Amino acid sequence: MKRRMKKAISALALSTAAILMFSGCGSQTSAATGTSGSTQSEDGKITISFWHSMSGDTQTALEKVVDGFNESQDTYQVVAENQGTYDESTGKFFNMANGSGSAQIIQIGEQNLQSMIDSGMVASISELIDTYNFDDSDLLEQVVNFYTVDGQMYAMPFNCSSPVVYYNKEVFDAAGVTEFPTTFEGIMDAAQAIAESDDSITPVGMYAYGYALDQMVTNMGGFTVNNDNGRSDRATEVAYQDQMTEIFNWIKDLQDAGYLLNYGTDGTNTISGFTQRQVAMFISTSASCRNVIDSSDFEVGVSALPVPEGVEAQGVYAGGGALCAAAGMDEETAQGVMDFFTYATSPEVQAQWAADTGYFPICNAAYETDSMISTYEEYPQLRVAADQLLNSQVNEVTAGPLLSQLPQLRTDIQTALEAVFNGEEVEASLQQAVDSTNSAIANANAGVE
Amino acid sequence: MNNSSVNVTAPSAVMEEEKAEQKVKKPLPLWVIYVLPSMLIFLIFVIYPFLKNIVTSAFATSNTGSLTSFVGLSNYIDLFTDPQYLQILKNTVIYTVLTVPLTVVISLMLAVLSCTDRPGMGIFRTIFSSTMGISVAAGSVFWNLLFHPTAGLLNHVVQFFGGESIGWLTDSHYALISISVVSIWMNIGFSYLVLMGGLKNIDDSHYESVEIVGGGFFYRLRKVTIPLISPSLFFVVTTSLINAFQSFGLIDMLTSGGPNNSTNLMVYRLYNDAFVNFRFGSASAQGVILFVVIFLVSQLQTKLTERMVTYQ
Repeated sequence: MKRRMKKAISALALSTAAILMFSGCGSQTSAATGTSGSTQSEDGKITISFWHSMSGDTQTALEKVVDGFNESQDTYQVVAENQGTYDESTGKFFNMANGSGSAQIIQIGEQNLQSMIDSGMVASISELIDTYNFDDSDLLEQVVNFYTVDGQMYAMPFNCSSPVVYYNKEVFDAAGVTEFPTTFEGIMDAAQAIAESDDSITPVGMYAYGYALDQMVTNMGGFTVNNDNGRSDRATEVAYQDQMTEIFNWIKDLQDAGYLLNYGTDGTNTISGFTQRQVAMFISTSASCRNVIDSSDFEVGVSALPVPEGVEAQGVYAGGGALCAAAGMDEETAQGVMDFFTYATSPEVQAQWAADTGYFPICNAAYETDSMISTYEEYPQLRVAADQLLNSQVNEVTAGPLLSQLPQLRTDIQTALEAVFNGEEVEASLQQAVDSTNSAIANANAGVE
Repeated sequence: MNNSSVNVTAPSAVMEEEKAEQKVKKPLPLWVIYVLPSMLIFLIFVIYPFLKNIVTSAFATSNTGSLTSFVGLSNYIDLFTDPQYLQILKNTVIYTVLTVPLTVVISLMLAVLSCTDRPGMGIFRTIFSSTMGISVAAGSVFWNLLFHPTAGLLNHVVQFFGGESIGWLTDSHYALISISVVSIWMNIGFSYLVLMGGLKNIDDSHYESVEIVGGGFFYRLRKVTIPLISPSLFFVVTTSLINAFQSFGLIDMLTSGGPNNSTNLMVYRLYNDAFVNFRFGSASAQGVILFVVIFLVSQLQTKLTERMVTYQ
């Protein structure tokens, strides 16, 4: 009897201890101070964990880059892992609180930059560049500008893309449109010409794509959020209303005229609709350029984003992805991370990566390499997205939006556009998006330490 | 949820027993040791996160989830004054009403039809329960192809019969219905299997009695089959209800909550606020609301149907 009771008491004590231990883990006091130590793999190499968000063919292309680095030296082993979308991967990175098993390199989308900085869990790339004598002189100015906040760069440019218009050249030629229009009005006329010449195809396919929509605002010279896109001070509300109203009205006009086929929010379905000749044009990221060209049995044209008549195109901000490094790495690991960055941003690697995907190189020298030149000869379409960025004006508008709630902002715009697809009024739908995003920004800003 | 309510009398009875034991200085009873391991896991992985969740819901949080400032009920107030969240609550209720009864009725029908021991029935049973073996992700990809606005099979069929093609997932009038159809299809496998198990447990003598009385198929269904499988039915309804309120995978894979939030459900919004937008305070408040809603609904359901459940 006594022994049984003793057992029970010790079990109770154990459980209490376990609970205390777990609750200790739960409090987030050490979130930003944890250090990620180097881990050695069996063959004595230092392992660097690299979380990315590339899938399908792009993942294969990325693995080629990683394998190339691993074969180029014997000290480090970069292990690439797909962790879902940029947003999912960022969330997981936060949850790991830089503990063991977390990544040393994490690929982010431009929309995650502010969140990453706010978390305090990523290192300043500028500081690493100084410490490890990284040569950053050749990186594209536009891209560096985007990832630089208050004089510090927080992510290493890697995969850069911009939204572009894809169109079926055969259909446009048959309708007598030989030059792809650069204005909203021009596209409207072209759509009409296509509708008259060929009734088996819908002129425009569209899916609600927040990234393309906020890039179009930039292209029209508008700020997406206030305080100069969140760059002079923390953004507190959205500022895209004027430009977005114009964009939405254009889309609504296309729809009312019967020239638009709505694909919801599904980019994959839009692409397959395009390659199966069900729509003659659509807007999407240049990252899928190779994929679209290769899976179409007709000639694919690519063109820069359109603007309304009378508005000068400003160009786009440097969208796509970049690589963050975890804060608090030990010296050996940091050296390895910088070695990997040096390799991944080198001209030849960037040229190959660009040729395999549709991203464009982020260093000037890559454009001069033989492989890039021959790729652009073979696929002149890939050049368009790069030119759109390279020819962009460098000013505060094209520095691009900086906002922790950028994913929310885009979801809200998508929701508004889908409402318009479904017959709602432009003004009312946009107002809902504005209200929703503004309250999300207020809520998130209230939590910033 | 309903389990705890069913067992609500047990712990208090045990506590009285414990008091009685303490009076006579008896040692700690054996049940403590038996219950401890599961209690421990339950405390750490359910009760503790639950309490932590309630606390977080009263705070503004940084994007890594640490609590920064106390905001009281303002996360809740913001949610209930947000027209989008109110629409999401409405969507969730509509979705539940659309999916749960149909899932249960259809799987009951299939179970009754395939319960006989005719040769070849095994093939049907395999087919009817096969959706249990399909993951949400695979099912979604498959249905996404069927729903494709221009290349999808469903629209080809509609057009073949002279109809206008339908935006299954892109038209806000159809999207929630389309999602419900997929959800019913996915859930039938499990419900069917449970109900089939219930049917197989019914003793043949009951059916023989019906035959002696001379009752037909529906008489037998109403008077014998349904009362005798009522425990299985009760279980299926309860789990389906809870599952419906917690739906996430199909929404994430097929519509991302669109178009125009018409398929945005409670858990999908919660997920987005927590893991995409990093507003953990608001997400925690939504977690608490979800708990309260599920708790109330399953209480209500238990109250309404408890008396109808008969155990053999």
